[in-house]
Amino acid sequence: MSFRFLILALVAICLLSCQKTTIDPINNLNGGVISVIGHGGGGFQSPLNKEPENSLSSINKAIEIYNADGVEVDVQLSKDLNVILYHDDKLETSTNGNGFIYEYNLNELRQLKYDRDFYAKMLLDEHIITLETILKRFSQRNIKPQLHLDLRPWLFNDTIYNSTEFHNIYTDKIVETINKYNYQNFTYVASGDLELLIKLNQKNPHLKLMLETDNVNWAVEIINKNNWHGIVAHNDRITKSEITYAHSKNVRIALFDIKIQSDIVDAVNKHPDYILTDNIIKLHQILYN
Amino acid sequence: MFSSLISYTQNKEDKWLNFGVELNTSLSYSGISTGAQVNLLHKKHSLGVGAKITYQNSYFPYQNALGIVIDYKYFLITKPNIKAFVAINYNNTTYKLLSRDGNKSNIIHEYTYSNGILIKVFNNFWVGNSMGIGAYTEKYYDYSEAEYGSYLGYNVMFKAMMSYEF
Repeated sequence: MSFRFLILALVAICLLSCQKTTIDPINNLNGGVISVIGHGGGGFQSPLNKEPENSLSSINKAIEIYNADGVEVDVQLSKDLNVILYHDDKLETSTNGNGFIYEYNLNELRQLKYDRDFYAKMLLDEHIITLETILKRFSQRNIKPQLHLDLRPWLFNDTIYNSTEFHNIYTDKIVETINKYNYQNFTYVASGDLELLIKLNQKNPHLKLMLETDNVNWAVEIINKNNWHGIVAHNDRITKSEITYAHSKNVRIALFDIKIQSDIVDAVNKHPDYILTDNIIKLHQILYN
Repeated sequence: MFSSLISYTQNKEDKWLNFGVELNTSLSYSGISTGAQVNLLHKKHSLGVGAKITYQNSYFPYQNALGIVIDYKYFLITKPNIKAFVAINYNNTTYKLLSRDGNKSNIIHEYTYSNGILIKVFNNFWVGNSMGIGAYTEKYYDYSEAEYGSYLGYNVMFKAMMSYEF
């Protein structure tokens, strides 16, 4: 009786593990290749994805182990105007610090430890890093990983700067750091803020600028007018026909919020140019198996 | 989490060596795995050797990756209906990293020390769980640098098991 149960259990596990997926041949502006970009590095932290997003271990894992084409990271400015990689608005949601990134100098931020869950608290020793940290590493690699920057222009001390002043400093610092490592040809900068993208374009016209929006028709006109690179859109809020339309206007598409297998298959079948995913290995399996 | 362990036991005191089988499910660095192993039992010692497969419904990356398990247990308490043990576990997971640059295999080695208990359900059938800490090493091929690399990190393991001793 127990042996039968054992065999049934094993058969059930095997059947559940052997899901088949089908994808169409890719037709995009990237020569039929979808660039695989790790969201926050190796994917956002979860009970099964242990490294905190934007941490060095997560970014290294995405590039070195998972062989991703690039990573997407979130950039903020510290009090002493260093470009910091951090996703959340507040420090306490992912680290042992409190408050905002812009309230601390780099030296203080470096002391903070990621501690969102048990694993990070007890078994990892990951600290907040700067954009420069990964540019140093990326610029020395034979094949340069794509660097997708997600801007966070609303996070600044409004008792010191007004919005325009801050945006000037923010874009200056980002461009200065990228230029220092001559990485502009591999850097993609995404924001929903048009003024910010215009400033970036003025400061370094080689940056690949991506407008973050779900309104494709509106975005295609703006991107073509400004000679920007493409659109970053939520996978659930954009259709395949909208992507085909964007491609017909020479506008590239990056999709995000792609975690589980069904999301990945859905996104791949829309033929975007970039997929920002939390599951790099799964996306590779689906693309190249 | 689906967990299972079956063991057929036949506690014959006069036997120098007894056999058992075990099914287990664990959560550790390499993800959720299901394993089957054969245990050799001698007095308070148990040495198990078996295979495991990492399992996922959709999120965890190492789907269907196979590996081997070597598991040593020392029973601190052996009462008729309950056993408590400490265990040293080694397992590995080999997964093929598919990409347009190639499909070389990476391997994760996991080493854990754990504590656990087994409770007799009926006859020689036991169920139990264990928790442990340890380390992992992940050896990988870095395509863009064309070289091998490795990572070392801490590890935790939660395991549920069913066993039967012949």
